[in-house]
Amino acid sequence: MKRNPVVFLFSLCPLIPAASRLAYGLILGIALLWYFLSGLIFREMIRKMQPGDSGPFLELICLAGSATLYQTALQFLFPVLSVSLFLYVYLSALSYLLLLSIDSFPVPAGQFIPVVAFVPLLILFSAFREFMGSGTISLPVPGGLHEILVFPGFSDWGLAFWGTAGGALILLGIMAAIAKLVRRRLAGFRRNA
Amino acid sequence: MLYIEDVFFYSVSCSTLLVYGLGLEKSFFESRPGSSFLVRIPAVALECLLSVSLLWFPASAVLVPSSFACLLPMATVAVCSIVSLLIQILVPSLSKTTAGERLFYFGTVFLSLSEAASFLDALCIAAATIVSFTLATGTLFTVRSRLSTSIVPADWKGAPLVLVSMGLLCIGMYSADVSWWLQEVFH
Repeated sequence: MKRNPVVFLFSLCPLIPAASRLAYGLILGIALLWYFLSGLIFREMIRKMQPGDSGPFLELICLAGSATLYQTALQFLFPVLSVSLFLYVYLSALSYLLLLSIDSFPVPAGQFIPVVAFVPLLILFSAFREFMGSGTISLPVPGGLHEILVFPGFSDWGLAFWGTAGGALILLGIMAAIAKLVRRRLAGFRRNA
Repeated sequence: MLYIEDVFFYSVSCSTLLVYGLGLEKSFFESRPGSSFLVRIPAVALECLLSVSLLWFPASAVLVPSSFACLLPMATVAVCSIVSLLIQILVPSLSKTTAGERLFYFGTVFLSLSEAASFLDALCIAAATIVSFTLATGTLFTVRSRLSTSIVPADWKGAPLVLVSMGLLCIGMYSADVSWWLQEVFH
Protein backbone atom coordinates (compact mmCIF):
# COMPACT_ATOMS: atom_id res chain seq x y z
CA MET A 1 0.00 0.00 0.00
CA LYS A 2 1.23 3.49 -0.80
CA ARG A 3 2.04 5.76 2.13
CA ASN A 4 -0.92 8.06 1.77
CA PRO A 5 -1.31 10.70 4.53
CA VAL A 6 -4.87 11.53 3.46
CA VAL A 7 -6.04 7.97 4.23
CA PHE A 8 -4.43 8.29 7.67
CA LEU A 9 -5.97 11.69 8.36
CA PHE A 10 -9.44 10.57 7.46
CA SER A 11 -9.18 7.32 9.33
CA LEU A 12 -8.54 9.50 12.34
CA CYS A 13 -11.71 11.52 11.65
CA PRO A 14 -14.29 9.07 13.08
CA LEU A 15 -12.18 8.76 16.22
CA ILE A 16 -11.72 12.52 16.70
CA PRO A 17 -14.62 12.94 19.14
CA ALA A 18 -13.29 10.07 21.25
CA ALA A 19 -9.54 10.64 21.11
CA SER A 20 -9.49 13.83 23.17
CA ARG A 21 -7.27 12.32 25.88
CA LEU A 22 -4.22 10.09 25.89
CA ALA A 23 -6.09 7.48 27.97
CA TYR A 24 -8.79 7.24 25.31
CA GLY A 25 -6.19 7.11 22.54
CA LEU A 26 -4.39 4.24 24.30
CA ILE A 27 -7.59 2.23 24.74
CA LEU A 28 -8.70 2.77 21.14
CA GLY A 29 -5.19 2.05 19.83
CA ILE A 30 -5.05 -1.27 21.67
CA ALA A 31 -8.58 -2.00 20.44
CA LEU A 32 -7.51 -1.49 16.82
CA LEU A 33 -4.53 -3.83 17.25
CA TRP A 34 -6.79 -6.46 18.87
CA TYR A 35 -9.31 -6.19 16.02
CA PHE A 36 -6.50 -6.50 13.49
CA LEU A 37 -5.13 -9.69 15.06
CA SER A 38 -8.54 -11.25 15.60
CA GLY A 39 -9.61 -10.13 12.12
CA LEU A 40 -6.68 -12.01 10.56
CA ILE A 41 -7.68 -15.19 12.40
CA PHE A 42 -11.34 -14.80 11.43
CA ARG A 43 -10.39 -14.13 7.80
CA GLU A 44 -8.45 -17.39 7.60
CA MET A 45 -11.24 -19.34 9.31
CA ILE A 46 -13.87 -17.89 6.97
CA ARG A 47 -11.70 -18.57 3.89
CA LYS A 48 -11.45 -22.22 4.93
CA MET A 49 -15.27 -22.38 5.15
CA GLN A 50 -15.54 -21.02 1.57
CA PRO A 51 -18.77 -19.06 2.14
CA GLY A 52 -18.63 -17.27 -1.25
CA ASP A 53 -20.18 -13.79 -1.49
CA SER A 54 -21.26 -13.77 2.15
CA GLY A 55 -17.60 -13.92 3.32
CA PRO A 56 -17.13 -10.16 3.88
CA PHE A 57 -20.38 -9.97 5.90
CA LEU A 58 -19.30 -12.91 8.07
CA GLU A 59 -15.96 -11.16 8.64
CA LEU A 60 -17.79 -8.02 9.79
CA ILE A 61 -20.01 -10.02 12.17
CA CYS A 62 -16.88 -11.65 13.62
CA LEU A 63 -15.25 -8.23 14.02
CA ALA A 64 -18.36 -7.01 15.87
CA GLY A 65 -17.97 -10.10 18.07
CA SER A 66 -14.33 -9.29 18.85
CA ALA A 67 -15.43 -5.71 19.67
CA THR A 68 -17.97 -7.15 22.13
CA LEU A 69 -15.20 -9.21 23.76
CA TYR A 70 -12.99 -6.12 24.00
CA GLN A 71 -15.83 -4.06 25.49
CA THR A 72 -16.46 -6.82 28.08
CA ALA A 73 -12.75 -6.80 29.05
CA LEU A 74 -12.85 -3.00 29.22
CA GLN A 75 -15.91 -3.10 31.51
CA PHE A 76 -13.97 -5.39 33.84
CA LEU A 77 -10.68 -3.43 33.81
CA PHE A 78 -11.81 0.18 33.35
CA PRO A 79 -15.56 0.34 34.09
CA VAL A 80 -15.80 4.14 33.93
CA LEU A 81 -13.95 4.49 30.62
CA SER A 82 -15.92 1.64 29.08
CA VAL A 83 -19.05 3.80 29.42
CA SER A 84 -17.40 6.85 27.80
CA LEU A 85 -15.96 4.86 24.89
CA PHE A 86 -18.85 2.41 24.42
CA LEU A 87 -19.85 3.61 20.94
CA TYR A 88 -16.31 4.12 19.62
CA VAL A 89 -15.13 0.65 20.65
CA TYR A 90 -17.70 -0.73 18.19
CA LEU A 91 -17.26 1.93 15.51
CA SER A 92 -13.51 1.44 15.32
CA ALA A 93 -14.05 -2.29 14.66
CA LEU A 94 -15.68 -1.42 11.34
CA SER A 95 -13.18 1.22 10.22
CA TYR A 96 -12.00 1.34 6.62
CA LEU A 97 -8.32 1.33 7.61
CA LEU A 98 -8.76 -1.83 9.66
CA LEU A 99 -10.56 -3.70 6.89
CA LEU A 100 -7.91 -2.55 4.41
CA SER A 101 -5.12 -3.81 6.71
CA ILE A 102 -6.79 -7.20 7.16
CA ASP A 103 -7.45 -7.63 3.43
CA SER A 104 -3.95 -6.58 2.34
CA PHE A 105 -2.10 -8.81 4.86
CA PRO A 106 0.60 -10.15 4.42
CA VAL A 107 2.15 -7.04 2.89
CA PRO A 108 5.20 -7.28 0.57
CA ALA A 109 8.63 -6.56 2.10
CA GLY A 110 9.37 -2.84 2.47
CA GLN A 111 5.73 -1.86 2.84
CA PHE A 112 3.84 -1.30 6.05
CA ILE A 113 0.57 -2.45 7.60
CA PRO A 114 -1.70 0.64 7.65
CA VAL A 115 -3.33 0.00 11.04
CA VAL A 116 0.02 -0.69 12.80
CA ALA A 117 1.38 2.61 11.51
CA PHE A 118 -1.87 4.38 12.38
CA VAL A 119 -1.98 3.39 16.09
CA PRO A 120 1.09 5.49 17.16
CA LEU A 121 -0.37 8.44 15.22
CA LEU A 122 -3.67 8.10 17.07
CA ILE A 123 -1.93 7.90 20.46
CA LEU A 124 0.37 10.86 19.71
CA PHE A 125 -2.51 12.97 18.41
CA SER A 126 -4.66 12.28 21.47
CA ALA A 127 -1.74 13.10 23.79
CA PHE A 128 -1.09 16.34 21.88
CA ARG A 129 -4.76 17.33 22.05
CA GLU A 130 -4.96 16.69 25.76
CA PHE A 131 -1.75 18.56 26.38
CA MET A 132 -2.91 21.52 24.28
CA GLY A 133 -6.39 21.51 25.80
CA SER A 134 -5.70 21.13 29.50
CA GLY A 135 -1.94 20.86 29.97
CA THR A 136 -2.30 17.33 31.35
CA ILE A 137 -1.48 13.77 30.33
CA SER A 138 -3.93 11.10 31.46
CA LEU A 139 -3.69 7.36 31.89
CA PRO A 140 -6.54 4.86 32.25
CA VAL A 141 -7.21 3.57 35.78
CA PRO A 142 -10.17 1.49 37.09
CA GLY A 143 -11.72 4.58 38.69
CA GLY A 144 -11.58 6.62 35.46
CA LEU A 145 -8.59 8.76 34.54
CA HIS A 146 -5.31 9.41 36.30
CA GLU A 147 -4.29 12.93 35.28
CA ILE A 148 -0.69 14.10 35.42
CA LEU A 149 -0.47 17.88 35.39
CA VAL A 150 2.36 18.98 33.10
CA PHE A 151 1.58 22.69 32.69
CA PRO A 152 -0.76 24.25 35.26
CA GLY A 153 -3.29 26.86 34.12
CA PHE A 154 -3.72 25.62 30.53
CA SER A 155 -7.44 25.01 30.99
CA ASP A 156 -7.87 28.55 32.38
CA TRP A 157 -6.28 30.21 29.36
CA GLY A 158 -9.07 29.22 26.99
CA LEU A 159 -7.05 26.51 25.28
CA ALA A 160 -9.63 23.84 26.10
CA PHE A 161 -11.02 24.52 22.62
CA TRP A 162 -8.33 22.23 21.13
CA GLY A 163 -9.84 19.37 23.05
CA THR A 164 -13.20 19.70 21.29
CA ALA A 165 -14.11 18.04 17.96
CA GLY A 166 -14.02 21.39 16.12
CA GLY A 167 -10.64 22.29 17.60
CA ALA A 168 -9.24 18.86 16.75
CA LEU A 169 -10.30 19.15 13.10
CA ILE A 170 -8.66 22.59 12.82
CA LEU A 171 -5.54 21.26 14.56
CA LEU A 172 -5.45 18.32 12.14
CA GLY A 173 -5.76 20.75 9.21
CA ILE A 174 -2.83 22.83 10.50
CA MET A 175 -0.75 19.68 11.06
CA ALA A 176 -1.57 18.47 7.53
CA ALA A 177 -0.47 21.82 6.07
CA ILE A 178 2.79 21.72 8.07
CA ALA A 179 3.39 18.12 6.91
CA LYS A 180 2.86 19.20 3.29
CA LEU A 181 5.25 22.15 3.72
CA VAL A 182 7.95 19.92 5.26
CA ARG A 183 7.59 17.31 2.52
CA ARG A 184 7.79 19.96 -0.19
CA ARG A 185 10.88 21.55 1.40
CA LEU A 186 12.56 18.16 1.81
CA ALA A 187 11.83 17.25 -1.81
CA GLY A 188 13.32 20.59 -2.92
CA PHE A 189 16.36 20.07 -0.71
CA ARG A 190 16.95 16.57 -2.15
CA ARG A 191 16.59 17.86 -5.71
CA ASN A 192 19.19 20.58 -5.09
CA ALA A 193 21.58 18.30 -3.21
CA MET B 1 -42.39 18.69 19.53
CA LEU B 2 -40.15 16.28 21.42
CA TYR B 3 -39.31 14.39 18.22
CA ILE B 4 -38.62 17.60 16.29
CA GLU B 5 -36.27 18.63 19.08
CA ASP B 6 -34.62 15.21 18.85
CA VAL B 7 -34.05 15.53 15.11
CA PHE B 8 -32.72 19.07 15.53
CA PHE B 9 -30.43 18.03 18.39
CA TYR B 10 -28.84 15.10 16.54
CA SER B 11 -28.64 16.85 13.17
CA VAL B 12 -27.40 20.31 14.16
CA SER B 13 -26.45 21.18 17.73
CA CYS B 14 -25.07 17.73 18.57
CA SER B 15 -24.44 16.73 14.95
CA THR B 16 -23.89 12.97 14.70
CA LEU B 17 -21.46 13.70 11.88
CA LEU B 18 -19.24 16.18 13.68
CA VAL B 19 -19.75 15.29 17.34
CA TYR B 20 -20.03 11.49 17.04
CA GLY B 21 -17.87 11.28 13.90
CA LEU B 22 -20.38 9.12 11.99
CA GLY B 23 -19.71 9.49 8.26
CA LEU B 24 -17.00 12.14 8.71
CA GLU B 25 -14.55 10.48 6.31
CA LYS B 26 -17.36 9.71 3.87
CA SER B 27 -18.39 13.36 4.01
CA PHE B 28 -14.85 14.43 3.06
CA PHE B 29 -14.71 12.16 0.01
CA GLU B 30 -18.31 12.80 -1.06
CA SER B 31 -17.93 16.59 -0.92
CA ARG B 32 -15.42 16.69 -3.77
CA PRO B 33 -16.51 18.75 -6.80
CA GLY B 34 -18.42 16.56 -9.24
CA SER B 35 -19.63 14.19 -6.52
CA SER B 36 -23.19 12.90 -6.69
CA PHE B 37 -23.68 12.12 -2.99
CA LEU B 38 -27.34 13.19 -3.07
CA VAL B 39 -28.20 10.24 -5.36
CA ARG B 40 -27.16 7.77 -2.64
CA ILE B 41 -29.01 9.50 0.21
CA PRO B 42 -32.46 7.87 -0.38
CA ALA B 43 -30.90 4.38 -0.48
CA VAL B 44 -28.88 4.95 2.71
CA ALA B 45 -31.93 6.46 4.44
CA LEU B 46 -34.06 3.50 3.39
CA GLU B 47 -31.43 1.01 4.63
CA CYS B 48 -31.01 2.79 7.96
CA LEU B 49 -34.73 3.22 8.73
CA LEU B 50 -35.56 -0.34 7.66
CA SER B 51 -32.73 -1.82 9.74
CA VAL B 52 -33.70 0.22 12.81
CA SER B 53 -37.34 -0.90 12.39
CA LEU B 54 -36.36 -4.56 12.09
CA LEU B 55 -33.95 -4.45 15.03
CA TRP B 56 -35.77 -2.29 17.55
CA PHE B 57 -38.36 -4.80 18.77
CA PRO B 58 -36.09 -7.89 18.96
CA ALA B 59 -33.51 -5.73 20.75
CA SER B 60 -35.86 -4.06 23.22
CA ALA B 61 -38.12 -7.06 23.85
CA VAL B 62 -35.65 -9.97 23.75
CA LEU B 63 -31.96 -9.06 23.84
CA VAL B 64 -31.95 -6.32 26.49
CA PRO B 65 -34.48 -7.87 28.98
CA SER B 66 -32.77 -11.28 28.86
CA SER B 67 -29.29 -9.79 29.46
CA PHE B 68 -28.10 -10.52 25.94
CA ALA B 69 -27.46 -6.88 25.06
CA CYS B 70 -23.87 -7.84 24.21
CA LEU B 71 -25.22 -9.56 21.08
CA LEU B 72 -26.64 -6.28 19.77
CA PRO B 73 -23.54 -5.21 17.73
CA MET B 74 -23.40 -8.59 15.96
CA ALA B 75 -27.17 -8.55 15.39
CA THR B 76 -26.85 -5.00 14.00
CA VAL B 77 -24.15 -6.00 11.50
CA ALA B 78 -26.06 -9.16 10.49
CA VAL B 79 -29.42 -7.42 9.99
CA CYS B 80 -27.81 -4.41 8.24
CA SER B 81 -25.98 -6.77 5.86
CA ILE B 82 -29.20 -8.65 5.06
CA VAL B 83 -31.15 -5.42 4.49
CA SER B 84 -28.34 -4.11 2.27
CA LEU B 85 -28.36 -7.34 0.23
CA LEU B 86 -32.16 -7.22 -0.09
CA ILE B 87 -32.03 -3.65 -1.39
CA GLN B 88 -29.28 -4.66 -3.84
CA ILE B 89 -31.50 -7.47 -5.16
CA LEU B 90 -34.70 -5.43 -5.30
CA VAL B 91 -33.18 -2.15 -6.58
CA PRO B 92 -29.94 -3.04 -8.45
CA SER B 93 -29.42 0.59 -9.48
CA LEU B 94 -28.78 1.47 -5.82
CA SER B 95 -26.28 -1.35 -5.21
CA LYS B 96 -23.00 0.60 -5.29
CA THR B 97 -21.83 0.55 -1.65
CA THR B 98 -18.43 1.80 -0.45
CA ALA B 99 -16.52 0.89 2.73
CA GLY B 100 -17.03 4.40 4.16
CA GLU B 101 -20.76 4.14 3.58
CA ARG B 102 -20.91 0.78 5.35
CA LEU B 103 -19.34 2.27 8.48
CA PHE B 104 -21.76 5.19 8.33
CA TYR B 105 -24.73 2.84 7.86
CA PHE B 106 -23.82 0.38 10.65
CA GLY B 107 -22.85 3.24 12.95
CA THR B 108 -26.14 5.06 12.39
CA VAL B 109 -28.21 1.97 13.18
CA PHE B 110 -26.11 1.12 16.23
CA LEU B 111 -26.26 4.68 17.57
CA SER B 112 -30.05 4.80 17.06
CA LEU B 113 -30.54 1.54 18.95
CA SER B 114 -28.13 2.48 21.75
CA GLU B 115 -29.35 6.01 22.48
CA ALA B 116 -33.08 5.88 21.81
CA ALA B 117 -35.72 5.52 24.51
CA SER B 118 -38.51 4.46 22.16
CA PHE B 119 -39.06 3.16 18.63
CA LEU B 120 -39.99 6.60 17.27
CA ASP B 121 -37.01 8.08 19.02
CA ALA B 122 -34.74 5.54 17.28
CA LEU B 123 -36.21 6.43 13.88
CA CYS B 124 -35.72 10.14 14.67
CA ILE B 125 -32.03 9.61 15.51
CA ALA B 126 -31.50 7.62 12.29
CA ALA B 127 -33.26 10.32 10.25
CA ALA B 128 -31.30 13.06 12.03
CA THR B 129 -28.02 11.34 11.17
CA ILE B 130 -28.94 11.35 7.49
CA VAL B 131 -29.99 15.03 7.74
CA SER B 132 -26.74 15.87 9.53
CA PHE B 133 -24.68 14.12 6.85
CA THR B 134 -26.58 15.79 3.98
CA LEU B 135 -26.36 19.22 5.60
CA ALA B 136 -22.63 19.05 6.34
CA THR B 137 -21.67 17.37 3.05
CA GLY B 138 -23.70 19.92 1.07
CA THR B 139 -22.00 22.79 2.93
CA LEU B 140 -18.55 21.24 2.42
CA PHE B 141 -19.34 20.66 -1.25
CA THR B 142 -20.04 24.40 -1.61
CA VAL B 143 -16.89 25.30 0.33
CA ARG B 144 -14.75 23.03 -1.85
CA SER B 145 -16.33 24.35 -5.06
CA ARG B 146 -15.41 27.88 -3.96
CA LEU B 147 -11.91 26.76 -2.96
CA SER B 148 -11.27 25.11 -6.32
CA THR B 149 -11.57 28.50 -8.02
CA SER B 150 -9.71 30.45 -5.30
CA ILE B 151 -6.01 31.18 -5.07
CA VAL B 152 -4.74 29.53 -1.87
CA PRO B 153 -1.17 28.70 -0.76
CA ALA B 154 -0.03 25.33 -2.15
CA ASP B 155 0.44 23.80 1.31
CA TRP B 156 -3.13 24.59 2.32
CA LYS B 157 -4.74 23.22 -0.84
CA GLY B 158 -6.88 20.09 -0.50
CA ALA B 159 -7.15 18.21 2.80
CA PRO B 160 -5.72 20.90 5.19
CA LEU B 161 -8.21 23.58 4.21
CA VAL B 162 -11.11 21.11 4.11
CA LEU B 163 -10.25 19.96 7.64
CA VAL B 164 -10.17 23.55 8.88
CA SER B 165 -13.53 24.14 7.15
CA MET B 166 -14.93 21.05 8.87
CA GLY B 167 -13.74 22.42 12.23
CA LEU B 168 -15.39 25.79 11.58
CA LEU B 169 -18.57 24.03 10.47
CA CYS B 170 -18.51 22.05 13.71
CA ILE B 171 -18.30 25.28 15.75
CA GLY B 172 -21.06 26.84 13.65
CA MET B 173 -23.41 23.90 14.17
CA TYR B 174 -22.65 23.70 17.86
CA SER B 175 -23.53 27.39 18.26
CA ALA B 176 -27.19 26.41 17.77
CA ASP B 177 -26.99 24.71 21.17
CA VAL B 178 -26.20 27.95 22.98
CA SER B 179 -28.37 30.32 20.95
CA TRP B 180 -31.17 31.76 23.11
CA TRP B 181 -33.70 32.01 20.26
CA LEU B 182 -33.60 28.30 19.50
CA GLN B 183 -34.15 27.54 23.17
CA GLU B 184 -37.18 29.82 23.03
CA VAL B 185 -38.52 27.99 19.95
CA PHE B 186 -38.35 24.59 21.63
CA HIS B 187 -39.80 25.66 24.95
